[in-house]
Order: sequence, then structure tokens, then C-alpha cells
Amino acid sequence: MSFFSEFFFSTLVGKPVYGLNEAVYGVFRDFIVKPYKDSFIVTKVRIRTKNGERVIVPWSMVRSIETDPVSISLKKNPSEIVPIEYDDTELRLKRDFLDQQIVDTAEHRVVRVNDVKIVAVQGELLVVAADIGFRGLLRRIGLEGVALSLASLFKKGFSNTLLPSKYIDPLPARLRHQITLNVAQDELKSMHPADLADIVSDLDQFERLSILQTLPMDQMARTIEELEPDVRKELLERFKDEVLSKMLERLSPDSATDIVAELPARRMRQVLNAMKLGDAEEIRELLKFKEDTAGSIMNTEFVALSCRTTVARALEELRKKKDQVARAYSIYVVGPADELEGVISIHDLIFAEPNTQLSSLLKEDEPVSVRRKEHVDEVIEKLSKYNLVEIPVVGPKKALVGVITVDDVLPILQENNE
Amino acid sequence: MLAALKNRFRSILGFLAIVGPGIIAAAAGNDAGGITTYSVAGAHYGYSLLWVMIVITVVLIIVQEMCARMGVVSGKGLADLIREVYGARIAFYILSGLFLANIATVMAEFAGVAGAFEIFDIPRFVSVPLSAVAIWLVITKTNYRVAEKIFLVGAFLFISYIISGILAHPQWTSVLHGSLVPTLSFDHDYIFLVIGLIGTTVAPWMQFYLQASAVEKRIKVEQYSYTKWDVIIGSIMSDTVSAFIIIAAAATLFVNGVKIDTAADAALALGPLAGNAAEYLFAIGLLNASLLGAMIVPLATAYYVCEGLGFESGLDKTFKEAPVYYGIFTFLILSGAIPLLFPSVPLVKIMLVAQVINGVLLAPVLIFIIKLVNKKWLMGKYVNKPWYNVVAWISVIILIILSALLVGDIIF
Repeated sequence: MSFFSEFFFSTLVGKPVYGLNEAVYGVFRDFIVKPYKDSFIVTKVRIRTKNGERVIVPWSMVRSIETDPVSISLKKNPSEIVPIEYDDTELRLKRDFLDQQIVDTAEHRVVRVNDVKIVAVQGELLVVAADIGFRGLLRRIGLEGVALSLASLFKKGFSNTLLPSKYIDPLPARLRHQITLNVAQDELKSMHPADLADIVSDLDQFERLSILQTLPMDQMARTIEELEPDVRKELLERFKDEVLSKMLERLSPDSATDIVAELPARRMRQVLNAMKLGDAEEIRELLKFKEDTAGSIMNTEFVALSCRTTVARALEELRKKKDQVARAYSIYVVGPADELEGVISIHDLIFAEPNTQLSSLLKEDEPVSVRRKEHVDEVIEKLSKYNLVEIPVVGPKKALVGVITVDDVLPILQENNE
Repeated sequence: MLAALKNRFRSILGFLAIVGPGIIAAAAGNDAGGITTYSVAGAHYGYSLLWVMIVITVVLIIVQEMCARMGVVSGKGLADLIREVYGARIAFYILSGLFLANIATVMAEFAGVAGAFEIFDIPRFVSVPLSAVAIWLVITKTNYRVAEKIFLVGAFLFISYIISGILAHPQWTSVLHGSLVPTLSFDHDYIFLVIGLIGTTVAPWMQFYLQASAVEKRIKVEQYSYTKWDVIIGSIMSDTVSAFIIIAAAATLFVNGVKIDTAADAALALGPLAGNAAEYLFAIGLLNASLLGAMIVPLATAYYVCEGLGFESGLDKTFKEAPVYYGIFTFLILSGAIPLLFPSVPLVKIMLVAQVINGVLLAPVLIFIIKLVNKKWLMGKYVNKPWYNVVAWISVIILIILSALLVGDIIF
């Protein structure tokens, strides 16, 4: 009698299971696993009995897994076995891993699992890797032996391509089988939204949702922002209005407006109604400006102060608003009716004496600005002509209504180039 | 009133944006092999097989509709789903079989190209290599949108057959009679021509192609009704073309008792009977069909092999991103074109082998389609309705029986 120390899952499927009395109980169907540290641990065994029933027994009931011939023997006699169930947080290797697509969080791609590698450690079975290579595929088809002898004939090695468990995210399969899951694996959470967006685009519709829904709201919002418009449109149709509106609240008003603008008119109203009043109002304002105008790409969060404010006070104000104005390069000086009087770069602000008033930092000449209805091309032209990284947007009577930074126009420039 | 018009206009625009996969898949089914079968049917049996085309159209619509729906709802190709639900081994053997059959199918397409060009006195040593290079460039250097436009133009060029059929001055009363009154003959050749007609119209690779391209086009569930019409219109269009090929052959070759073996024979025989215009139109139709088939069959093969075995695939990817996908495509073009340059290659035998493999595979593929499209976890509320299932199973069983008869006949 010998225990496997490591083996491939597929070599076990369909092999006989014996009771304590050496009588055939049934055939092995599947392992039930759950996440455990960096891998997955086998908790239960799924067996199809001689009578065709599907029965689940705990892993602790397995006495041994033998190698020659491959078989499993149990610690009890068939008549004493009481079947148990598995719970929703657990996964099934055959159903949820084998032949399915999983996310490789190391390489940020979607791969298909050809086989699963299992290692025995101190009486427990751990899923250590997914086999995603050609050799694993040949094993499944029953041609591994042929391929190996061919390889040895040509004196070539033929190794397995394994993806360690810690890089496996089997989330997609979980949702498909309606299993709710509240912990996303840490890798996904720490990934950059742009990388996540790449992964999401590669998945099918069910899987896209399943991955996104396990992310923290902030990260989900930023990932969706990074998606291609057509993928995003398709995805958002499946979001509930409440979820979508919560998500939009996490984004800057101009990004949120871009997303809202893609929605059908009726949906747009519903989503805006579900949002916080202030946020929705801001988006409605931004929506009024047609696409390709300064108003449509501007950001409505900025720091505007009167000219009598001291430098120290201005810096304090800036710190207070640090979350909203993450990409600010300047602060703005405005008159009593919000009319734009001047622009002060954060650079100048830092090096000025704390007690001086902002008015003393203002330049003589009128600040460069764009009108809300001006075309984006003109915004770009002004930015490049005056070597600016940020330009204020003014409404009627020169009132300051928003700012446009270089990063807002870069995507447009890129589109124009394509 | 105005609003209603506007709505109608909008839905037409919506349809045009979605149209493509269904029309292309059905049109590509009228490939070189298909045109040969239709020409032979018309030349040997006159108008009497036209009614079969109506039956075939219904069956084709049902099968294609299920695949398109599955692609749209699940976002996965047919090979993907077979792999995920039925396992690697089954997927592998089905895909390998289709791969082998499609090598022969591509060969038939290039034989069609060669035959059509020879009518215009262009030798195959020029036409076949040039077409192969042109096809390879179109597929490897463009993305899905551009390729689809080219395919759609190809699909509409099939109109040349309709004109050719009209130029042949058929007896319209006989056409109507042949279409509406089924005639059954238990003559061996007759039955096998009927099976051949069905086999060439509902080929397994078409279903894989249709579902994969519906996925690649990212059609949304809400837009599915457009895709349904895409499938229906595509099937009716392509079978109308097939009917006109039969009509053209029946009005000229059958009436004068000319027997033929290939579509190129049919085109040549048309000349003296219906005039040079009919002959050239028929040849252009054949050329167009062969070229379209030579593009789409290798493409479909590359799609499903990569899907099922887990390699990157898709027209929107570059050669570097999806080397296996484009590698398979290139291999199929080469292995389809090169044998044509050697007269000693037994083309007819290779075609028969391909027909057998396709016939054997049609059964499991169709059964998988019906079983998958009825899975609730996959399709949600878009599973088949009960009455639809009845119709679908009847169609599938008829197809399976017929293809079993064909396979049995060729082997024994």
C-alpha cells in the first residue's frame, strides 16, 4: 500500500473507491476544496456509488489513495457511510477548475485549466497548481504516454506548465454556479485598475460581473472607468441602478459624466435619481455640455479663493480638499461673483511667504482660460500654445466653472491620432 | 407618425449594425462543393428537387438560430462550451475530426477557384497561388470589422447566380411545381443527392463559425432579435441562391440532357445553351463562392481549435498575440492550395473522406448544441421553448439519419 505524494487530479477521476471491507463502493467523481493560505485544501470527496447515487464524504474518511492500480479506500464499510453536503463557499475541482477559464493574476491573463496538481502534506491534500500546458492537455486526451515516448526518442524534455495556486483566481466559475463569495483574493484587490480592466475585457459576461462584484466599490468604479466603451456599455446594462449610482459617486464628476452619457436616456434618469442629490446635480450640469466641448471634459472640483486669502490659508484649504483635487496643479483666485481673476501654481504657492496675500502672487496679464462651449481642439491648442498643464474653464460673465488638466485631453489627442 | 417612422428607421440602423454573422455563415455554406451539388441536382433531376431546398431552409434556420442565441447569451463559442461542459477528451476528438474534414473542404474551395479561373483561360498555376496569398493577406492584416465587410460583399455577389438563373429562361410554372410539390423517388442516386444537398447546407463548421463570430461581434442580449433576423434572412437568401443554381442547371442542362460532374462543367455547359453572359455569371458566382469559402472555412477552423484547446484566438488579435490561431489558418490555406498544383492528387477521394467525417461529426455536434442551449445555468431564460425543442429534435434526428445513410453508403 502506498500513498501518492503528488499527482494530477485527472488521473484519479473515474477510479474505483473501496470500503473498509475491500468491497467496491463506487467511483471517484470530484474533490470539494476551499481556499487555504496560498492554495486550496481538499475537504470532501464526491463519489458515484454502484447504485448511481452521488454521495459526498468528508476527506477524513479516506484511508488511503493507492498508486498501483490507482484507487481510493475508505475507513468505513459502505453500509456505515452517511453522506454529507458541501457549502456554498466551497468549490468543486472538476466543475469549477478543470477545463474552465481562470484568471492568472501573475500574468494578468485568462487561461484554460487542463489539469490540477495535488500534493499530499501530513495527511491533507493541497491543490498546488493548475496545469495550463500542452502536456496537461495531452494527458487529458490520453496521449501523454505517446507524446512522452516521442519526446524521449528525440531526447527532448517535455515538461508541464504549471500555474501556482497563489496566482489562481477561480472566481468566474463561482458566480456561474450562483455561489456568493465575499472575499476577493488579495492579488486582485491590489492590482491597478487598468490591468484589471484588461482581464475583465477578456472574460465573458457572467465572469466580468463576477470578478467586478468582489472588488471594493472604489476599485470596481475605477476599473469600469478604464474599460473600453463597448465593453463597459454591455456590462453596465447588467448593473442594478443602485449599484451603478453608488459606483458613480466614487468617481470624479467628469469621469462619472462620461459613463452616464453612454447610458440610454431612460436609464440615465433612473441612475441619476438614485444618486446623492449633489453628485447627480453636478453630473446633470456637466451633461448639458455636448461632447467635444470644454464643458464636457472639465472637472468641477478645484480650489478657488479670494485674492485677500493668505498663502498659509490657501495651503491649508488645499490640504483639506486633497481628496477631491488629487490632480490639481494650481489654485484659482476669484472675485465675489466667482469671476476668474488669476491663477497661482502650487509651485509658486509653496515658495511664497506664508503671510502674504494671494493678490501679491497674481501676474499682471489676464489669465488664459477657455469658455465652456469652446471645442476641445481649442483647449488643446491653448494648452500647448501657453505651455500649460491645467486651464480654467469659464462660463457667462467669466465665472470659473471648472478646470481641464492635460490628462483630461490626452485620451482625445490619442484618439485623434489613431 | 413621424415618431413611428423615426423608430422604424432606428431599428433598421440597429439591424444593419448587427447583421453579419448569420448572413455570412449561411452564404459561406454555398461554397464550391455546394454549388457543384446544386448544379448536379439541377442537371440530373431538373426542377424536381427544389422542394428539398424549402425543407433545408427551415432546418438551417433552426440550427443556426440556436447557435447564434447561445453565442450572444453565453458570450462563449461552441468549442469553448463543449470543452467546459463535456471535457477535454470529447472536445479534442471532435475538433480533430473537423480539422481533418476542413482540410479537404478548403481543397474543394481552391478547386473551385481553379475551375472558375480556367473558364476565363487563366491557368491554375497562376490563379491558385495568387488567390491563396490574397486570402491570407485579407485575414491576417485586417481586423474583424474590415474582414466582415469583405465577407458581406462576397455574400451579396451571390446575386450573380440569380441573374444567371433568370438568363437561362426557366419555365416558371415548373419551378413553382417543383418547389411546392414534393416528389419522392427511391432511386439510390436521387436519395443520395438529397442527402448531399442537406449535408452541404448544414455543415458542422458553419455552426462553430456562426457562434464564434456572434461572440466576437459582442452582440448584446437585447439586440438578439436583430441577430435572429440576421440568421433567418441569411438562410433564406443563401437557399434562394442555391435554388437558382438548380434552376439554371435545370433550365439548360437537364432540358438538353447534359450530365456534369463539377460546377465548372456546369458553367461551361451553360455557354452554348444560355449564352456567354449566363456562363460568365455562373463562373463569377463560383469564383466568389470558392474565395469566400476559402476564407471562412480556415477561419472557422482556427477559431474552434483555439477555443477548445485554450489558445488565443480572434481576428482582432495580431499574429504575435495569437500565433496558433493564425498558424492553423495559414496551414489550412497552404494544404488546401498546394495539392491543386499537382494533377495526380486524388481530389474526388479526398472530398468523399471529408463528407464522411462531416457526416459522422454532425450528429454529436447537433446533439451538443441542443443540450447546451437547454442548460438553465448557461442560458437563463433564453433556453429553448418546449415546442421549439420538439421541432429542433425532429430536425436533428432527420439530419442524423440522413448523414448516417450517406456515411454508410460511402463506406460500404
